[in-house]
Amino acid sequence: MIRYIFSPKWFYGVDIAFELFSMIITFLIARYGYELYKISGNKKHKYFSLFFLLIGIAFLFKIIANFDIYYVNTVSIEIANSIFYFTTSHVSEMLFILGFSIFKFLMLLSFFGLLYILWDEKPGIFWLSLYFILIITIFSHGTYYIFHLSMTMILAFLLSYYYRNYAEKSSRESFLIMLSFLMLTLSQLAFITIALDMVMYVVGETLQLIGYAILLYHYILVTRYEK
Amino acid sequence: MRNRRDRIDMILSVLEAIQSGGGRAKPTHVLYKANLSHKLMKRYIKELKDRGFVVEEDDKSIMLTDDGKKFLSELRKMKRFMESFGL
Repeated sequence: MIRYIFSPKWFYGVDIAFELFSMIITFLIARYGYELYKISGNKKHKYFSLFFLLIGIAFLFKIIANFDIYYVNTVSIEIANSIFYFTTSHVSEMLFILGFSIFKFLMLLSFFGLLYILWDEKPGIFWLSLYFILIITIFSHGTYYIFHLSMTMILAFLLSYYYRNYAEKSSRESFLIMLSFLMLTLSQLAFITIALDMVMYVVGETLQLIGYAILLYHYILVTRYEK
Repeated sequence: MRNRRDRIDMILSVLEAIQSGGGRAKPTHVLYKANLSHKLMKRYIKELKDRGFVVEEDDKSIMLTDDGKKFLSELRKMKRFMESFGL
């Protein structure tokens, strides 16, 4: 099957490295969240840890799918500044479909889950939202921007929550979390426009990397240094 | 935003109440400073004693151990982490 690659050729592998870095950070946060849960016994902390773990797993699936596209079982051709590739095996095709579908599903689920636990919504809302997440995952296959648009919406709500959290706490740490989610929201906005110019994929990946790097800085600041 | 006190908040308030008395405090001081019910305070003190974070002295005052000091420091970090994530 012929597919379109949004990444410029020189960026192949760099995006994988960016996502590997982001994955490690989400695993670190998940682990710390679990430590928190072990002491507090608070279910909110357990789900916080679980959703960060799922974000990391989502990245892992995207890394595997991208690795397969860039380096294994595919032939790519460049026509008028656009890169198309052909999968040369069923395994490769399956990896693409499964890899990106699981990535999208877990990303939507995790960020929505974070929003859900922070806003203390009623239980029924979660299952209804899970249905929409499944619909978006399945039907955004050909129209990638539906996924990024949905991610932008969820992240915008999280950003608004963290803005209010910062306004209430006025701490450097809460500012960093707000800034991180601002970067993640902007990265999704950049991803929406990747069909216009491949450079927007680089912009999106870079903004996303900055967002996770800020989370790492926050993690180091909070866990390594006594106030 | 988060308003209720959870377990971490309560354990932290007990340990901070002990620390505020120079690492040693009478149960009444802890009760007053930590703003907990007598039942809850007894439960947390017992738990902290079982884990070696505090010891009870002959005059009934409670003393923070070195492990207790380290645990207090960890709890403060956890609280900052929770607050910044709005948990």
